[in-house]
Amino acid sequence: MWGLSVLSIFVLWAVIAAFFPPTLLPGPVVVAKRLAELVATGEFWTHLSATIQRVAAGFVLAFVVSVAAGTLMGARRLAEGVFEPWVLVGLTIPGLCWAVLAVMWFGITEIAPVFAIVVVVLPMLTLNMWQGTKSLDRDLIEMAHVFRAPLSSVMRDVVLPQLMPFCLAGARLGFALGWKVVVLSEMFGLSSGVGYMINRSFSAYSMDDVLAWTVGFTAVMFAFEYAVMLPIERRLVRWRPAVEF
Amino acid sequence: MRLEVLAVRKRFPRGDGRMLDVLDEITFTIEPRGFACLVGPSGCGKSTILNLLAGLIKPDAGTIRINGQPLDRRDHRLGYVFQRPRLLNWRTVRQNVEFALRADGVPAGEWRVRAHDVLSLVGLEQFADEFPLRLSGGMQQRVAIARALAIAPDVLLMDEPFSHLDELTARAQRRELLRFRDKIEATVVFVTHNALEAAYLADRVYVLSPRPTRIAAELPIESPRTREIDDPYVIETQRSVLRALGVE
Repeated sequence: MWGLSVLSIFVLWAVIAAFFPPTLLPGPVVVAKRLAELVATGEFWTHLSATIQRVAAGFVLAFVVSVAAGTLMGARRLAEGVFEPWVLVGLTIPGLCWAVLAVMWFGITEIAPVFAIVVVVLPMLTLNMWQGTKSLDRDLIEMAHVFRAPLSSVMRDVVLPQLMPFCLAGARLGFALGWKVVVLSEMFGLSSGVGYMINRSFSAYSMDDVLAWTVGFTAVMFAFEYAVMLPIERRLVRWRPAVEF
Repeated sequence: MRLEVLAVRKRFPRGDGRMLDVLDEITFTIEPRGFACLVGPSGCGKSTILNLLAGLIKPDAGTIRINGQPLDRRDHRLGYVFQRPRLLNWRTVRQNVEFALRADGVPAGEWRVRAHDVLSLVGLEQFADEFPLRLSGGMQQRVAIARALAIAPDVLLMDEPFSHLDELTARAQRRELLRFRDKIEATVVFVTHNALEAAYLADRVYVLSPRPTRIAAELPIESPRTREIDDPYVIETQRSVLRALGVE
């Protein structure tokens, strides 16, 4: 089923491409050839790794801060009151604005894309951890107190396992948003990365290149989801029986 | 351990600033290894009594003693079985029991044997490595009982532990509880609103009045501990409990 589903995307693409001139929408075979060239010259990996490093740096920073801020907001009324407007304002400002601002403020440096990722991803991840903390089962925490469990055990055995699904959702959300923002930043003001290469291909009006970069990037993200995220998720939820409707 | 509750009073502030009298001089004594059921109408302060016995709240007046010593969470071990199992569903059955052992400061080297012993007692030793959600509701509640017994409590507090199970499952669980009843070293306080359950399980039933709560009646049960739910004296005790509650 899985292979069939992936295949159908390419078939659909090929069918639609047949109705358009190749300069406007090249078919999957042409794009795959171009991508193979980019991979062979090493160009693909150079720019991809630049992009991945930026996303990783921004994501890790935002994730750590959001876990601290989100759990604090969920557990303490005062923190909730103080940070709630920040989170809501942060959620409202479009990522594009931050990408532009970051380049204007920090110029063509590595700080610009990382800054843009952090400010875009942070409110969303904080919201996620905040809701996760609020949804903790109070009865279980009371049970732990009745049994006089030490704080370390309450955190490890009672609280963290309940927050793990939210951390996982946050990681997915954070990466998805991070990729979008980093590509924007790279288009505006950087001289490396997937976004930069897409923009350059666009300037040269090379549809083959635009699509080759996009497809290659998507394929790597896809592999990441299946190789890293899904196995983690499976391990985390193995105690839960399958849902039946 | 002998559990003594002596002239205990408890009141709580209400929303309008006045005080609500919940417990009005509760006095009872449960002999070592005794099994007492507290039966009362809903809202009569049964949970308040359990919270006092668990040391979660303090009485406004009166004292609670265990073997003559004032109740202190640092000196006395208390096992607690809640209405719902309240298990850590992401930990196996064994790990759930070990959670209580760790909390009680039992050395890790003893966990495995003690968890095995207590799971065998409640008849779940072959499910030690299962996750709780794979077990039936009745079995989950027995895991909760095993967790409470694992720390070898001085007093075992049970808060309507079978009230959320369907009647057939609840009957099976009560029968199971009677089966290993004699192996429990703890003094048991079992709260329920089910008169038949009290008559079937307890060797002494305390009937509580509506708020402010007092002991309305004390019914010792002299019959042997191995009982059938339809034994004449169980039925007769149920009738006495209901009469004391003012229902019959």
